[in-house]
Amino acid sequence: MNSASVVENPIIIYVSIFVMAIGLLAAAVPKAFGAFGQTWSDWVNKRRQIVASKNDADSQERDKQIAYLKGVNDEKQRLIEEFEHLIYQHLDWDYQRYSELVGLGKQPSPPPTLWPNVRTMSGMPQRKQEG
Amino acid sequence: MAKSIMCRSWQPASLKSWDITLLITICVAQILVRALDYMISDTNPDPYRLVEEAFPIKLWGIFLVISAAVLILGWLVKSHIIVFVGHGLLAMFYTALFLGILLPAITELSFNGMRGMRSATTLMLPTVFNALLCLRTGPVPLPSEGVKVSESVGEPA
Repeated sequence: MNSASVVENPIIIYVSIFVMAIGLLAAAVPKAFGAFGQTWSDWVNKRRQIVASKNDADSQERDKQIAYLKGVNDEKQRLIEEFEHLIYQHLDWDYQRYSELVGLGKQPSPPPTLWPNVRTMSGMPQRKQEG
Repeated sequence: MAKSIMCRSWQPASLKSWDITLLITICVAQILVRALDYMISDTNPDPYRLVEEAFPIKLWGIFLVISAAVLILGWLVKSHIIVFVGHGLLAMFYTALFLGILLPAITELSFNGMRGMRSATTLMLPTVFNALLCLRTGPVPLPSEGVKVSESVGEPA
């Protein structure tokens, strides 16, 4: 029997159908095939769980990154608003009157600070030092 | 945009469940056309001779129609295990068809050019597609209690 006649034998088709049918049945009804069915079914489910958990891990990591960046963005936005508020306060403050009082040797209250309350910055999330 | 041209920037396509539904619909349509072709054709090209030695070509058509019917039924009644079996049956018959066309084509490569290889490679996609969907669908749905959505603002791990 030459190699071509071995390959061109319908038995290969019957065997492939048989093997796949057994595999399918064993995965669908593990009890019908005893230990073999259980092992195969466990393997199929394990593979599926690995893929699903990897997808979950990826999406959770992405969600975490998005939440982190949103947090950073919100914090920076809040700081910008605080700076703007302080700047407007400063604009309203009367420099001329302040200079006059200082010239007269008095001690008027100093101008409002341009630096936001440092305490509010403590909640800002910090990135880990890399390397 | 510039980053996406860099090496190692490729990310797999984000397929949605609707995309999978579309792919399966197209796949079922393709199967039914092939099955119809098998059932009404009187003559078949030479690459099918091993396939026909195993079973008459009309019977192959019936196998494919039954498999597609199981898959369609599973989709209509939304039964997980019937969809799984449908994909499994299709993977099984496609694998047999694929091997039945590929093996003679390989033995004839040296003196018959690429005859038969084209049909075999055409069958490769639905074979792998159904096998993959069968494996990933599985006989029972995966439990979803492990999935957690992170909403808190915090340092990335």
